[in-house]
Amino acid sequence: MDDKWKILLLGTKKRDPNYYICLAIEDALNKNPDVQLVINANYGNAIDKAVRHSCNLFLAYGGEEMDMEVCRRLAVACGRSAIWFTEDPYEFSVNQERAQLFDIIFTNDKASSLNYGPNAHHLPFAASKKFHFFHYPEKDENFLYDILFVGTAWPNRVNLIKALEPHIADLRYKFALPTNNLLPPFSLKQPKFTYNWRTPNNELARMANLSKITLMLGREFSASGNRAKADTPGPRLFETAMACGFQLLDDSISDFSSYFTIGKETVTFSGVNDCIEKIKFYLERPDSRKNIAINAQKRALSSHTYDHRVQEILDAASTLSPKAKIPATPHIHFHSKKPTILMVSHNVEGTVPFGGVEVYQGMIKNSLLDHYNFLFFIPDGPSVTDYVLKDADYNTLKRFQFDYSVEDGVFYNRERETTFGKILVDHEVSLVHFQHLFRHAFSLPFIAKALGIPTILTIHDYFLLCHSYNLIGYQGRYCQAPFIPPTSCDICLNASGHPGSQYMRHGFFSEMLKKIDLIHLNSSNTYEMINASFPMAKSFSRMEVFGIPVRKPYRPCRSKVNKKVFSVAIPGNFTRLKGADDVIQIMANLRHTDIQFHIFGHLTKHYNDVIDKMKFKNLTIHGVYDEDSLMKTLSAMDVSLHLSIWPETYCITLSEAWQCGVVPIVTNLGAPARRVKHNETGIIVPPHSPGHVVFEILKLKNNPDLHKKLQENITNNLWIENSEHAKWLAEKYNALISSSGSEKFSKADGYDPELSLADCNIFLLQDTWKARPVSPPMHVDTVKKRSFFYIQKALDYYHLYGFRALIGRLADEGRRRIQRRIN
Amino acid sequence: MKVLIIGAMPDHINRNLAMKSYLTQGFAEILGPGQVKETGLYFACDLLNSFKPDMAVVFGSCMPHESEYSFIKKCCNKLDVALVFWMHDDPYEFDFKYKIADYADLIFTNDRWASYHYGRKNVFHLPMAASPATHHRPVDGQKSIDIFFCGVGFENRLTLLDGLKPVLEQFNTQIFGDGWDEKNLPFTKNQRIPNAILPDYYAKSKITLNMGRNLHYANERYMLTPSTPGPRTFEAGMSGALQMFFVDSLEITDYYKPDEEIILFNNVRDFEEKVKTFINDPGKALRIRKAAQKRTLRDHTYKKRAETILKTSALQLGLSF
Repeated sequence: MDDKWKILLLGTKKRDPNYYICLAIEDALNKNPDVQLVINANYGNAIDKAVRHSCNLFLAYGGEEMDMEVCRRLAVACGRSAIWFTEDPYEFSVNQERAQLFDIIFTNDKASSLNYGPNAHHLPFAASKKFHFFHYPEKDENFLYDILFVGTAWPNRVNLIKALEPHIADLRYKFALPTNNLLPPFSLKQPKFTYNWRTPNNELARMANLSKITLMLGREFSASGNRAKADTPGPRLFETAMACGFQLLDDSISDFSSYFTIGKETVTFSGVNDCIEKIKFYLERPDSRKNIAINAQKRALSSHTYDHRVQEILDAASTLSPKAKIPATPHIHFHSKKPTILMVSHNVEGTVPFGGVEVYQGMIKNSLLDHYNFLFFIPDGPSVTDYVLKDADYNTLKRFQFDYSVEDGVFYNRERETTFGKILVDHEVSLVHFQHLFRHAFSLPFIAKALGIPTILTIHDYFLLCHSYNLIGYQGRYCQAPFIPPTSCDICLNASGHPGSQYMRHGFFSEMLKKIDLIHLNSSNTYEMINASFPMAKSFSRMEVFGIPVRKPYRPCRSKVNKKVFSVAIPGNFTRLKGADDVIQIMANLRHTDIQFHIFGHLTKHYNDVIDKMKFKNLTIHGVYDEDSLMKTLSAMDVSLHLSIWPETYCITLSEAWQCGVVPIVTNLGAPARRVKHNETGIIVPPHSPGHVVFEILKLKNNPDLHKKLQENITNNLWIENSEHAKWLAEKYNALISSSGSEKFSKADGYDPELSLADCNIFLLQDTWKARPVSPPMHVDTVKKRSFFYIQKALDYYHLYGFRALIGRLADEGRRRIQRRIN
Repeated sequence: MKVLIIGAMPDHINRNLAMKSYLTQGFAEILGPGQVKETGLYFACDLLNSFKPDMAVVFGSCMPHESEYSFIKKCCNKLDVALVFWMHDDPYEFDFKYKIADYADLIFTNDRWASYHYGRKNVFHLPMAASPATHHRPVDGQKSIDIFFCGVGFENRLTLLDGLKPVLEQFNTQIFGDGWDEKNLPFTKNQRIPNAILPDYYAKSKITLNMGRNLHYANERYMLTPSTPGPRTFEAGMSGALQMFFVDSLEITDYYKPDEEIILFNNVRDFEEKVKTFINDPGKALRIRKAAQKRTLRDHTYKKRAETILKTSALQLGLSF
C-alpha cells in the first residue's frame, strides 16, 4: 500500500475497566512509521471522524458490547476493517456473528482463531513500555513482597491461593482478589481488607517489579456458556515480564512456551505442592530470579509489545484492497435514488393546533418532494408517551409507545434513543432535519451523529434557552434573555412554578449543538441571541441565516386611490403572545373613529368573551383563514399590527403583510424589529405601549402621502420566495449528505443500533433540568396568579382538544409527578 | 505574568473552597500578589475582561450542572488568555471530562491513572498539596490521641477498620466524621471536625490513618481505580502527622518515602507491629513526623504546584513568567 495508514480505532466495550490496552494500541499505532494518523474514537464520534479524516482502516478493539450497525458503517466508510477480539474463548459464540463485519479477524485465543475462517489470525496480548516498564530493583532489600498475586477472584485462583496460604504464613505475601457479582463468595484466612482491593494497571506492574515472585494464574471461568479456559495467556504475563518481575506460571491453564522460554525467561509450576517448592527454591536464589526476570523483560521488549502486535495487524491489512470509499470533501452530486430526510418536530400541518413551524415543514416538503423522500417523527397529538412516524402525505407508518412520559422533553431516555436509531436505520435516513425538540429526548442529535447521519437544526423559537420558548418570564413579559445573569433564570423558573436549573439545560444544549452540522437561524436577531447564549456553537457547527419563505409569490399592490375606509389588520392567531391585550386597548381607544379593525386567525375563548363584552362596532373577526382568502382580504388593508410581546424569530405574517402592500407596525423585539426599517418599510414601536401604536395609526391615517411613501418602499427583497428558500435548502441537504457519505452506508437491512447518550460519552446526573422548588413563591399574588394560570391553561386545552383529551392529559401529568417523587 | 484562578463550580456549593485560596496564594508567592486574582465561576468573564490575565486556571470539580465553560472559553479566545483546567476530583467524577475536553488549552488532573484516559493531548498529572499557612503545626507537641482518622465511613474504610479492630481497640483510637457504624466500631464517632482545626488533630495524634475512598459519582466509562492520594495526605503531612497507609497502590511512595516519611502496612500483623513500634518509641515517631513535614514543605505545597503549572504552560503554550 502506497498511502500511509489513517486509522480509526474504536474500543467496542462501552464500559471498559481495561481500556488501558486500547490506549497502549493507540500509542503503538502512533509510533508506527507507516501510520499517518490515529483517531481513538467513541461511538458518538467514530463515523464522523472516520469520514472527515478519510480514514483507510477501521480497527475495532475488544469485540464485547459491539454496536454492530456503527461498526458496519465504519467498515464501509474506511474501506478496510479489522477486529482484534480480546475476550475469546469466553465470548466466542457471539463473536462469530460480529466477525462477519470485518475483513480480517485477530483473536487473543489460539484455538478460537482456527474457527473464524481463512482471514483469522491469532494475536496474543502484549505489554506497553509506557505503562509497564521498570528496571530491576538495585538491591534485594528494595523488594517489598516475597509473593504477589493480583487478579480477579476466578474460582480456580481462589482455590490455589487458599491451598497456598497455610504454607506461606511467614512470608511477606500480597494478594488482591477483587470479585464481582457473577462469582461465588469466598474468604481467606486474612481479613477481607487485605485481599479485596483493586489497583490501577500501571501500579500492578510496579508491585510486580517490587515482588520477588509474582504468581501467574490463568482464568478458568465463562459466564456465557463458552469454553472456560483460554489457550493463550492473558495480558498479565507480558505486563509482568515488561515490569521485570520474576513469574511463577501455573502450567495447567495455557501454553507459555510459545512466548517465553521455560527455565530461561520464566518458570512454571504444576499443582500446589510444586508451587510451594518453587517459591522456596527461588526465594533462596536471588541471582536466578534476577537473570530470569531480566531475560523475560528482554524477550518482552523484543517480541511482546503492542508495537509488535500493531505491526502484525498492519502487515495483514496491507494485503487488503480498499473498497469504495466515502469522499471526504463535500461536493454536490446527483443521487442515484432519492435520499430520505427525517424531520423531527412536535407536529405536522393539519393536526390542530398547528402554526408556523408546521406550515414551514409543509412548504419544504412540497417544494422538494421530487428530490427527497420525507418522513416525520412527532408526538402523537397531546400524548407524552405515544409517537408516530408519518410519511410525506402525513399517513402514519408506525406508532411507538414509550413507558416513560415526558412533558416538554428530557435530556436523555434510552428507550427513545434506541427507537430513534432503529428508525434511522430501517428507513435509510440520509439526513435528519430537527425542526423542534419539544416532547422529544434532546439527545436525538447525538444518536444521528453516532450513525454518521448529518443533522440540521432550524431554530424557530428559543426552546434551547428555556422551556418557556417565547422567553416570557414569570412577570408576564419578555425576560430579556440571554442578556441577563443566569441566576435570573433560576429565580424566574422557581417563581413561575417550574423550578430547575437553567445552567443544566444550557450546559446540555451546548454539548448537543456540537452534534449539529448546520444551525439554521431565521434572522440576524435570532443568530445574535443564539450566539450570545451558546458562544462556542459556531466553533463546532455552521450557523447560517436564511428567512422563512412565503408560500406563494404575490406582488405588492398599492392602496386604492378612492379608498375611504382606513383599515387595520391583525393577522395571525389572536393571543396574548401576539399582543392581543394591547390590541384590545388600541381598539378600545379608537372605537369611536371610522378606522376599521380586522382580526385574522383563531381567538381563544377568553378573548372572544372580552371582545363580546366590548361590543366593538368597527371590528370584523375573520377567524381561521386559508392563505388565498387571507391574501385577497389583506390586500385591502392599510396597516397591519404585529405587536408580539416576545422576540419573534422571523414573523411570517410580516412577510404576508408586505406581500399585500400593507404597512406594518411592529414591536421593537426580535426579528420584526430588524426586518423593518423604521419610517421606511414600516413602523417600530416599543412593546407593551398601545399608546404609541394609536399615535402611529392616526399619523398614517391623517398623512396619506407618508402612508403611500412607506407602501412604495415595500419591494420583494423584504421577504424570501419559496423557490429561493428551496434552492438554498436543497444545496445544504446535498452538501451535507455528500460529505457525510450517509447514503453509501445506509442500508435497509442494517443491524438494530443500541445507542444511548452514555455510549456517546455524555453523562448527566439526571435526565431533566427540573428540580424541587428551592423556596415557596414570594408573595400571595404570585400564588393566586399561578393558580389562575393553570385553570386558564386547562380551559384552553379543553377548548382545543376536548374533554376526553383534557382528562387524559391531567392523568399523564399526575403520573409524571408521582414518578418524579418516587425517583 | 498575570493569572486568574477561577472556581470550577460556584463558590456557594463548593465544600473545598479553601483550596482555591491556597492555590491563589501559591501563585502569588511566585508572581507577586498584584499579579494573581481569584474569582467565583459566575464572575469569571467580568474578571477576565477587567483583569486581563495571561492565563486563567479553572480549579476544582466540573461535575455540578452549573459548571459550564463555554462563556469562559469565548472570553479567553477573545482576550487571548490561555485556559487551563486543574481537576481535583478525578477519577470519582471522571465521566464529566467531556465538559472541559474541547475547551482546555491544558488540563491538569489530580489522578495519575486518570491522566492517561482523557483522550486528548496536553493532559498532565498534578497531585493535590497542602498550605503551610493553614496546615503547618509543630511536630513535637503533646499527643493526646493514639490513632486518629477523620472522614466519611465509605465502604472500603469500614472494611479496613473492621479488619484492624482487634488492634485499634487496644489503643486510644478516635475516628471522627460521618457514616460510621458506632455500634460495631466503638472507637468511631459521627461527629464532624471543622477543616480549620483538623490540622490540630493531626498534630496531637501519635498515628494518623491514611484511607482513600471508593465512592464514585460518575466513573462508569472506564471504572478507573483511584491512583494518587488525595489532599488530606499532604495536609496531614504538613501538620506533622505520622501516617499509616494500607498498600493498595505504590504511587504513595512517589510522594513520601516508606519507613522514613510514611509507614506502609499490608495486613493486621504488620499494622500491629508498626503501631506498637511508634507508640512505644516516640523518638522514632518524631523522626518520621519531621521528615514528612519537611518533605511536604519542600515538594507538596500549592506554590510547588503553581510552579509546575507555570513551567508546563511555558513549555507547551509558549507563555513566559
